[in-house]
Amino acid sequence: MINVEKFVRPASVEAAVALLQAPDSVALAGGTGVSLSKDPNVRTVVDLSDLHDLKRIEAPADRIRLGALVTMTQLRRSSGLPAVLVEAARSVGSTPLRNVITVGGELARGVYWNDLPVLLLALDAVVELTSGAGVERVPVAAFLADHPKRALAGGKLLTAVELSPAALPKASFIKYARTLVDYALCDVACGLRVEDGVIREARVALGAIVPLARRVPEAEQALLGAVPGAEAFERAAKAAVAAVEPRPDFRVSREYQRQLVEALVRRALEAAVGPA
Amino acid sequence: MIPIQMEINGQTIEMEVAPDLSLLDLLRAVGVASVKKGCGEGDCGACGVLLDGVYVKSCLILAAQASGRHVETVESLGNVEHPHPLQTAFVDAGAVQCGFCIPSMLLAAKSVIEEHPEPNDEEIREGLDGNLCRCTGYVKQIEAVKTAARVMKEEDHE
Amino acid sequence: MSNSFSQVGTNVRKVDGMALATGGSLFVADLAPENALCGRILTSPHAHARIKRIDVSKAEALEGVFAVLYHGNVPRVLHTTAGQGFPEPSPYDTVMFDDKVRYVGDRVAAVAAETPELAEQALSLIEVEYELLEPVFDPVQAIKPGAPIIHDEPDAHVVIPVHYEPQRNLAALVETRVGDVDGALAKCDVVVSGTYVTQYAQHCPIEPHITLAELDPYGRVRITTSTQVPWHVRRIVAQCCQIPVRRIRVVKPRIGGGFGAKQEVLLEDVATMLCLRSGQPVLLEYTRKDEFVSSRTRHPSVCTTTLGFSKDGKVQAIRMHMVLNTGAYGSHALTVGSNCGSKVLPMYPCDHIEFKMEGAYTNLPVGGAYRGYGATQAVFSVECLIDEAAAKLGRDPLELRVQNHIRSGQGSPIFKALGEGTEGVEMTIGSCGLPECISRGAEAIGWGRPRQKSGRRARGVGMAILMQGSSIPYVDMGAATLKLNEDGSFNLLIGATDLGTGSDTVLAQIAAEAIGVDTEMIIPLSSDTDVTPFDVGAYASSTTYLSGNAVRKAALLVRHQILEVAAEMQKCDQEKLTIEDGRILGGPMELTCSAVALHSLYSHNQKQIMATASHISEKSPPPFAAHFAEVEVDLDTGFVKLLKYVSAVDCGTTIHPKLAEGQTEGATMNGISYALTEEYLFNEKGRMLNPSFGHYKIFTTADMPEMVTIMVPTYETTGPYGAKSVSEISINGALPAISNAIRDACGVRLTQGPFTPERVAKALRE
Repeated sequence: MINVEKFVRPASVEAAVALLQAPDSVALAGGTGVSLSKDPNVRTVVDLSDLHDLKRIEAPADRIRLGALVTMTQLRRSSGLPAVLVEAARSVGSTPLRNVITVGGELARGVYWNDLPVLLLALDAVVELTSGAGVERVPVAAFLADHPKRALAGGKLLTAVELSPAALPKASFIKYARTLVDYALCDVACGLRVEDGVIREARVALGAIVPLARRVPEAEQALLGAVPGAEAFERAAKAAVAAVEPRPDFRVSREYQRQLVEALVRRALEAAVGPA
Repeated sequence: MIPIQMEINGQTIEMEVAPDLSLLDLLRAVGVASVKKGCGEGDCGACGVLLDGVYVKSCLILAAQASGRHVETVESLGNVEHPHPLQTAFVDAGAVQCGFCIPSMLLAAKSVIEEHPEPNDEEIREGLDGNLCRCTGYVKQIEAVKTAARVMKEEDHE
Repeated sequence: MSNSFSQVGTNVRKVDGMALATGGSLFVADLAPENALCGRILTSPHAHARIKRIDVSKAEALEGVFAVLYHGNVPRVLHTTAGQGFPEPSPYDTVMFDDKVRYVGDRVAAVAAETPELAEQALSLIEVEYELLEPVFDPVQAIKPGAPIIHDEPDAHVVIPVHYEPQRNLAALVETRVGDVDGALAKCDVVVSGTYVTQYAQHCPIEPHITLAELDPYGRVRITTSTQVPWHVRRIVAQCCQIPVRRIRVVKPRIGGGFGAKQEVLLEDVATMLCLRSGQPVLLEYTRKDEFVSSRTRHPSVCTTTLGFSKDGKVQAIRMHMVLNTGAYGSHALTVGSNCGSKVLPMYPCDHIEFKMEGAYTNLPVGGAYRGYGATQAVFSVECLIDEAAAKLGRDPLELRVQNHIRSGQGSPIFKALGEGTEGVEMTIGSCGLPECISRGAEAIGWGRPRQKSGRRARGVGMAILMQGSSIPYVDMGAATLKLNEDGSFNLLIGATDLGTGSDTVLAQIAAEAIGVDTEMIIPLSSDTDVTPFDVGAYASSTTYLSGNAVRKAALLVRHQILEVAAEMQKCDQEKLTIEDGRILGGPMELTCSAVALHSLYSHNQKQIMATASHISEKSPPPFAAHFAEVEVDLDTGFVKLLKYVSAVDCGTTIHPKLAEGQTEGATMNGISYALTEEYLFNEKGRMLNPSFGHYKIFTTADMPEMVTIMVPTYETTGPYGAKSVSEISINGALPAISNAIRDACGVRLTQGPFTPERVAKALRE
């Protein structure tokens, strides 16, 4: 931040996107990632706080649209949103942090402790990116796969996230940490569609235990076509352990990380289908 | 240098600031002593302020980011002659020991009561979860918020 | 003894409460002048190294830098940083800046510059060449032959005759023996033994250490500092900076917590030297990272304890071997180590006791004074082993404690055997509310009610019983002065240090009670070495018990003077007069303290009604406590959720009930997160990996269990209005009580803190 020369607050998304073309610019949403940054390459800060259109939550019928500047607190307080989304928002940081951390920020930051993207992966969310060339819609998994910084390169602004909870109605989210205000040790989210007593669609996502939130296709495969229950969940959990290389975490051993993945994936699946 | 202007406890200030100056450092530089630096890195919560009515950690907000906005700190709640019910409740409950975390916590408490006029334990605990206190164990602070909420509700009805 | 007091025992408004709640400019950072220079300290990146070359010239040449200090330009004065009475029981093994560094975070140099940015820049311009030395991090290994010697300088020494062997990294040694432990153990029916390990912790005052040093126009240094020990600061700064005590004034304003971290002289000497060299005010403060790494910590410990019982459940013998990790410097090693024995071993009186404590130097952060002060470390093993013994004896662990614990009228040879560097003081327990603490606490937690296993979660309860002390008898002294004003109010000048504990208020209550006025008529002013009389400071749980007695004595003297004048004014017998609510009763006239004041200041035989009194204590009557914890263990992840915690405490009379509860709740909460989440993580080179609240976890409101606080009243005849101390004891219960609760829930015995999920999970697997 020491080399910043300009601090701009654009009045429109178009203006913001134009400013973000400059490679030495950075978008400021809640600010928790930007304010303490020591990056010497940033010359322009683009403060998004006047883009009020991006602060809306729309939840008509089946489709939920969250503006990129919707805060965790807004999600927490919103009625009509799926409980699992509210729970994930609640798990982020503490109250003053939830008051400023945004949906867009959680996705764009790209650090291991972003909790919300884990749930968005499990719900097949779609990210709306706006640039000078227009609007694109990118599945969250693709957005995260490379790295958010690369997905946003060239002056793209994340403007909204959309999801249809009805597509994966049995969903759950678990954030596991040392205390309730903490960087996650392991985030697990899952989304299932069960039809005729059999799992037809499955999404299993992990966060924090990996460098960037991701789905675990091996666990998902183990669930497809299976009857939801202890046997299938244990298989999926073990598949997740086998498939994922935990990132080095100075707080816990690798062995414990694996134990966590197994226990929490199983538990998340149980929570998703609910009591028998 | 970035020109900024903001309202702090009802008074407008205009100045030029370094781009990486935090709102916390700005506030302390203009004499708002109640906002404390306990860690300067967003963890302890002693620097909380109300920014356009929203409770935030001022060490994580750039001064430039707060330009054009309203900042409220505990000085605007009340003073020794005319304390706010929250201040009275905290003092009388024994919720103030060293007091370093208190100005910020009072603002967090104000936010809680604004959202929940009759807050329960769970709501208070969530609302204060960004405020570290090493002296009190939080017990009397939670009681104080409940007491203040009751008094404020009564005052509203008068 | 019924408490028919008018001021004592009431919840008067804390004297500084509203000023704090309205954001008054009360802390050191708020009091710094605009032109204060910013002080910063350069610290060592290496755990053990010699400074081969240090060049500060570029830093000195930087525009806006006004002073640079390093070992080459400050006097080499061996001292201890420990804030203790002189001559200190801690070794003189520290100098302001040395040509050797002994832990990551050790001092290398300091600068004073116009702005924080310039100060940082100046630090980066200091060139240092290190010769790396082999470090040692394990305290048990450090005192074995062949370990690298940390204090190999020829001049480190002790100033009282205690054991000190720096040549084998032994900073302190205490041994005491009563009876024949080996012989007794051989005859015991049940013997339990274990090695228990406690971890590093930091006090985490929300206000880090901070000091302002200024020169006044008379050439005296005024040090405004966040400290618990103003007089020790003054003496040690004089020592280190080689200026006379009379040139220094130390003032403690409101401070943001201490918990023992500020019973230390860490910044004041450097700030003063920077001020003297630059001629300008200097504000020196720790960052939060500095606070974790470079200030003080709780001494980690490795303790092997053995308890022997006869089959009727009676404790017959206790052996404790405590190895304390004192880190790179020995401050508080001897005294914390002595308290491991003196505050824990007397709980279960028996005829055969052996105690050995070794304080080992290591190349790690430095242990200091931390609430609990040795009792925290030692009570862990004893209170866990009582439960182990109960299991072997087939007894309820509560009943086993009730059978064995010390009672009113009993003594212990440990009290005399273990002092703090000097001999201890024999003592018989006066007030002891422990039986009631146990029974009321047990009821509150629902002791004896079976806890279920529900799916993959198991519940259990555990307990611990505790004792501490109240002041250090014959060693520590506190004094107070009272003077009467025209309106019948009194200035109460006390050395005693209020770190947020509320001692200003409590001492005002005691003065008010003794004189016969309302507490509002007392104006406390504390901790200014020019103005207030001496007090050792806030430690050893001494303020209420020791300073409170000094206040009471001074108050009675002033009361006597008032009645003397009142009697003269009315020409009546002084013996008939009393003071109640500021009115003089028993004589023919209607007089008030105010009338007496006006008369004595202006009318006749004029004098200032005023008195000073000092006090030393003759015993250290322990407060007692019983703590109970209910946990739920997640058998899949090992996560321990604390459901409910009960602290039942006997501190004699609670001078101010809410403040006494507040001390209990704060200490308990600290003990809880110490037991479950607080730890220092180091890399293999001795660097702390988690020096921030982000990764050093203390509980927030979100993590709180249901907390129950029970104050059990007793009356300690040697304490002011029956009071004992309360501030330290409740930090010690959580580690053993929660370990016991986990054992009850799922059968595993955790002997190393903190009880992280990973540790629990590992124990469950084994």
